[in-house]
Amino acid sequence: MTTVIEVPPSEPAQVRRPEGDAGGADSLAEQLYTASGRYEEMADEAGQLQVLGAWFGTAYDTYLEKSQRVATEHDAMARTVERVGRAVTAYADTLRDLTRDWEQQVDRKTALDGRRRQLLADIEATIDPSEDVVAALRERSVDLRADYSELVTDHDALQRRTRENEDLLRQAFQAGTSLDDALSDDGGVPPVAQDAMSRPGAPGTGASPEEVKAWWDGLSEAEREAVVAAYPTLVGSADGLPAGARDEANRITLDDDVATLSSKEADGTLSSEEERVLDNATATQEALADADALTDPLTGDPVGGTLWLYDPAAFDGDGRVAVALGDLDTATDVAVMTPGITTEMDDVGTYAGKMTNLYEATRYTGDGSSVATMFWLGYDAPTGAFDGATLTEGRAEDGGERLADAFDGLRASRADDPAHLTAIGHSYGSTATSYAAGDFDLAADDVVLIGSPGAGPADEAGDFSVGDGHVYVGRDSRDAVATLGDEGWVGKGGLGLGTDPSSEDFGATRFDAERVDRGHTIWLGDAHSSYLNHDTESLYNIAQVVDGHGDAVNEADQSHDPWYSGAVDPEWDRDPTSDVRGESQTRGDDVP
Amino acid sequence: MSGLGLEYGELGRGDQDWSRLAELMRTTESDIEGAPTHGLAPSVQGAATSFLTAWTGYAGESAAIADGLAGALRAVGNDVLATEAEREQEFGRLDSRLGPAR
Repeated sequence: MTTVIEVPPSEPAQVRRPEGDAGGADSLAEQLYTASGRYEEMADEAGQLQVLGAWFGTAYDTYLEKSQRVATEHDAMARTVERVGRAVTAYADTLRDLTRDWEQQVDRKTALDGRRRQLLADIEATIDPSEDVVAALRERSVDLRADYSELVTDHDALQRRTRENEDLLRQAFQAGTSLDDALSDDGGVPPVAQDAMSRPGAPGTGASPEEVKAWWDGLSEAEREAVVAAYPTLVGSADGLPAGARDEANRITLDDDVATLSSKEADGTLSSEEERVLDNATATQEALADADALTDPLTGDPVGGTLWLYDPAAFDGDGRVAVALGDLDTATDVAVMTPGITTEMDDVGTYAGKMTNLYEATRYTGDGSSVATMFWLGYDAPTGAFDGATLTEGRAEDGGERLADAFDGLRASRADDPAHLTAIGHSYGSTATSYAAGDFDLAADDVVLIGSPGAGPADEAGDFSVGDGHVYVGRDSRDAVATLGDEGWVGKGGLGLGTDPSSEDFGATRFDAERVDRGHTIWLGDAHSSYLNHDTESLYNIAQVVDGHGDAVNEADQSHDPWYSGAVDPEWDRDPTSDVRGESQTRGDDVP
Repeated sequence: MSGLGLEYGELGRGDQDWSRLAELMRTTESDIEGAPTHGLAPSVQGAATSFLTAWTGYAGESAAIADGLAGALRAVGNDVLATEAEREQEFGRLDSRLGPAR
């Protein structure tokens, strides 16, 4: 008797590679950014040349009319060629993703073909098979057919996304080619992007984070790619959108800034304001490269960086930025750290490094859950200890409101898959975080205040939106800034920025945060800046909170201020530890 | 005409700046003309080439506009210098003395 086993054909016949070269496309984008910078220079200079000393008269009137037209038209052209440049950058980024997918599909096809050859060989070698053997061979054939079918579906999707990517860029070129397009406010913007942005809930229309999320969910994949490429600054700062979309958009703007301003620098036309923007952009690019290169301490897999916020010209050039490690869209535990005074955007590398420490410590000491940690500088931090803004709480209040908005955005972007969110505030940033949790209903699960000069509007932990059982405080007994907050019935005469959150009066959970190399005096320096250093008590305990196990922190006695003397810190005389398991070890022993 | 006034030095500055912009746009024209499209998929290259061709032309026009404004300012300055020289000679020939010396 003959037994028939149908072996599926090898398909697709060929896994087609997306055409084009992302590096080459990047080169074209850089040329367009350079051109944009020069058109901008032409427009700016034409504006400045409208006044030539005390020249007046009818000839001047006509000259003025002409130079005004030059300024207006060349400014519009700068924007159009910039938009097309960004479309090319987005095309290149997507092409890289598509090429990675193609490589994976080639590997899958190779593996499937190997299984198919083996199945054919096994069938060929089988003589007088039992029913069980036939059933097993048939089962392998059925499985193989299903896997080929899945590959065909994925391959079709890859080809569709490739076509959409190419269509989108073609439309961007076409929408910026004619002179009317070049001079238009929408020059270089494909119609599909304009249409998507005209729908309710689009960013920039005053829509809530939830409405923005609903708008995004209603877009097709091609429409999403189109709006990211055409409106990267709007998408990159839109609360409610997935972090992945914001990251893609912000990287486009970052590439644009670096290329355009570097070109202007080479031309000798860079203004002092633009110089600051270029410094901020360059610092961000370097921090992001470090973030992208990070690997997980447990698995060795790439962690991945995210540029969640990028606004290098904000606050008179101080800038706004947020860089994350790990996947903000999927991580079980997400921490957001707000820095304090003197922090500006070009410090992003330093703080991204601290977030690397926190990521590694949380993974190393945690329960195995996925983690993301983000440095958030979304407010205008005071410039120094003697800045008038440092002595008041205005910037902290503004920062608190902005931080609460950022958390609302994170929440809305994951309404169906909420993360465990921890807000960490350092120094003046702890006061901003206190405003967020005290006055603006911060949507966090836990709050950590470190090196805090005071808890702003909150007199006690119970005033925070997270509830008094979810407020944690780290204070190095030698940290001068952390001694400024009020405690006791006398207080400190308004020296600090509210109640000392490490005090008994406040009622938060204080955790161990001493250093083995601490000195004998209260001062600034390391005492104030080491809370997120590896193998410290502080980082160990913060990692416990971030991992969702605040009940596992090593509690420290709160400071107190008896009526008969000054404030007393029980931690002053305790012997601190470093690199001790369960107390201060935050990474493996093989790490130098 | 309600009035007329000028500073010769400022006209010269304007001439120089517009000339510099013209040079900048000529460089832009050349750069755009040579911008690489080989990184793009074949289905996009036609649109990219049309775009770059059009913008090469626009950059050339921008250079011409800047050259035109520089030239016009230079002409104003030259006219002023020429008029100054002619009038200086005319004033020099003018006898403004009274009496027998005249």
